[in-house]
Amino acid sequence: METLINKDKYGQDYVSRDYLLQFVDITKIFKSGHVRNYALDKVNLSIKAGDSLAIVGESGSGKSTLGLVAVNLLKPNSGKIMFEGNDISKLRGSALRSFRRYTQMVFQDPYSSLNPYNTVYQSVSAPMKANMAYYESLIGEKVDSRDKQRAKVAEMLDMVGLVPGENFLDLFPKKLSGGQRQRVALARSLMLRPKLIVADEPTSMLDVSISAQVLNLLARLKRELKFSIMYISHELGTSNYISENMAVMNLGRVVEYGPSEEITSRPMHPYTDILIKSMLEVGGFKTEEPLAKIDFSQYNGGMVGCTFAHSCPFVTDVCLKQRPLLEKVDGDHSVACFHPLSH
Amino acid sequence: MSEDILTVKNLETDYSLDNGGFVRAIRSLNVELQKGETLALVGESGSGKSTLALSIMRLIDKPNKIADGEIILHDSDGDTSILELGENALRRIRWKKISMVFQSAMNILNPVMRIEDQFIDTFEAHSMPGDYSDRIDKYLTIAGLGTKVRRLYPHQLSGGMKQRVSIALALSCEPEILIADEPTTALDVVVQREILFELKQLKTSLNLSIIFITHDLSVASAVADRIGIFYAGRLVEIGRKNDVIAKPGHPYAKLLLGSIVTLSTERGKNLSSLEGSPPDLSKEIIGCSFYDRCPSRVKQCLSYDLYPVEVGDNHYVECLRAKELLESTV
Repeated sequence: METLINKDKYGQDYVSRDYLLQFVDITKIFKSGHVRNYALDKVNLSIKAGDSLAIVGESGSGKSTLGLVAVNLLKPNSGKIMFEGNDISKLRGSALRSFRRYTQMVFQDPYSSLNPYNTVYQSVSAPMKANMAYYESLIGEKVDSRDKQRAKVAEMLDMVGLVPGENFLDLFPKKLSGGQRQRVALARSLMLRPKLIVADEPTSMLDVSISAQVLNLLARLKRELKFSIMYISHELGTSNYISENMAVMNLGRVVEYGPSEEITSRPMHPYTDILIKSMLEVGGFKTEEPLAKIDFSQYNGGMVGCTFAHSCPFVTDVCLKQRPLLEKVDGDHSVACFHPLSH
Repeated sequence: MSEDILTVKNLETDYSLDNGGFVRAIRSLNVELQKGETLALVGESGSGKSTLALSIMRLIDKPNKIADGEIILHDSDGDTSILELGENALRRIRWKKISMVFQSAMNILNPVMRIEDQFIDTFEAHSMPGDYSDRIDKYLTIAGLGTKVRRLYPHQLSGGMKQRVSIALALSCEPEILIADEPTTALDVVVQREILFELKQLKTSLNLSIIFITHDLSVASAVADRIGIFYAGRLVEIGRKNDVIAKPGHPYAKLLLGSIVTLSTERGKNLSSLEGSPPDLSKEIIGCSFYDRCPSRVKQCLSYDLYPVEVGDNHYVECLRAKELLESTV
C-alpha cells in the first residue's frame, strides 16, 4: 500500500500489473443543494491479484460508494481506478464491456437484485448469452444449443449449492428463500469466471444460520475458483472470516489498512479501536469499560484535519489542522493517524 | 424463586391466509417473565418472536387472531388477564404498564411533529398527570439525550438518537414491563453498544422487567439474564444466559451458536449451517418441528408429545434427546 496522497506526482510509477485493482486518489462528491458531501475523499487502496480486501465501516463511511466505483457503476469526481494496469474510467464501448466480464457485483438485497419476472435460468444465463464467444473460449467448448446452455447454468447452480441445479432452472425468484436468492445472484456473478467479485453486505439481510451457509459457500468458491473478493461490510467478524486484508473507512477516508489479523488484534487507529471494542461477543460485551462517544455531527465534508478529530480521545492541534496520511507503520499495516495506538 | 410479573400460557396466535386457512405463528407457548429480569427471546425470521410481542400488546388485528391461551399481568393491582380486556381497559395497560420499543425508530416518530409534541401526544392519550415539560426533560435525559432535542424534528436526528427518543417515549409513562423488539438491529455497532448499555442500566435504575427480542445471540447475551430460543412458533429452549450459551441442549440452539462468526473464527473454516427451511406453519406439525433439519433425530421424535425437559437448574429444552445429547458432549 503506497501512500499517494499529497504527492505531486503519482500514477505510472505506482501502477503495476501486480495489482488487480487500484484506487488512486478517488474522490466522489454527492451534492445536495449547496452541501458537498465527500462520500470518498482521496481514497488510495489496492488489491493484489488473488488477494481479497474487506472494506469495513459504519453507515455513511463511503464503503458502498467505493464498491460501485470499483465496478464502474459510479464515476468518481477525480482519481483513477486501475484494473490490471488500465484506467477503467477511460474505457468505452467494447473495452468497457470486456472489463465488466472481469468484475462482478453481488448486492445486499437478494429480493431486489433479481428480476421477479425472470426465471433463475434467464437471470443466470444472461451474462453467458451476452458474451457467448468469450464464454465459449473460456470453457473451451461450443455452447450452441439451448440444452447445452441449460446444462451449463445447472452446473453453476450445483456449484453454488442449489442441488440439483436443473430443478431450479425454471423457478421464479418468489419461490426462493432469501438464502437461495443470494445463491442465484452469486451464480450469476460467477458465470463468466470473473477475477474480482465485489460483494456489498451479501449476508446482512439473511438470518444467522443462512448467512453461515452463504459465507461457507463464498469461502469455498473463492478457494476453488481463485477469484478476488472485495467484501464490503459493517461487520468485522465476517470480514475477517472472508478476507486476508482489511481497510477501515471513516467518513469517506481510509483510516487503517493491513492484514485482517493485524487490524483486529492490534488496531492502531483510535476509531478502529472503538469499533472493535464495541463489537459484541457470544457471552456479552467485549469490554465493560466506557468508550469515547463518537459524534460525527461536527463533520462537514472535505475537512482539513482528521475526520475523527472531534470524537478522538487523543486529539491534538495538528489533528484539526492537517490531514493525516495513510502511512505504513509496521510491515503491511498502515494507519492514517498522528497518534497511532501502540500495542 | 423470583416473582413473575407476566405469564403467557398456552398461547396460540394465527395469521389468516387468503385461501381461508391460517398460519399458526405461535404454537402453545408457555413463558413467564420474572420481575426485574431481562428475558431475551432469540429466533430467526418467521419464528414467532415478534408475534409474541404483538400478542402481549394485543396488537394482533383482525382477521388475524389469538386463537387460544392466556396472558396474565401480575402487578400491584392484582392479576389482569390481558386477552379479556376491552379497548378502554387496554388503554390503561398499554404504555402505562407495558410499553414497547420497535425496530424501526424512524417509522414510529411523526416526521412533521417536534419531539416534545410527540411526548405530549403520548401523555394526553394516556392521561398522565403532572407537568409534561419536566417529564419530557427527565426522560430525554434518562435515554441519554440532551434536552435540546425536544425542539427538534425527527429528520434532524441520527438513527441512534431516534432510537433513544423511542426508548424515552416508551419509558415516559413509567411502565413496569418494556418489550424491545430488535431495538438495535438497524444501528451501527458503536451506537448499538451504547444503547444496549443504556438499556441495561435503565433496567436497574427504573426497576424494569424487559422482554428483549432479537435474532442475534450476541446481542441477547449482552443484555439478558435468561435467554429463550424460538423455532417455528415454539420456545425450544430457555434458561439462564450462561447455561444456554455454554451448554445449549437443543440441536437447533447448538447449530445457531455454531453459525455465529466472530473475530476468533478461523478464516474460511466450515461454519455449522442449517440446511433446509423451517416447517410450513399452515399445516399441522406432529412431533418435533425441527425434525427435518435435525442432525440428531430419531424416529421417536415424530411421535413425541412436545414438553420441556429440565436439563439443569431452570434450564428447559424441548427435545426428546436433550439429556442424552448433553451428556454425550460432556
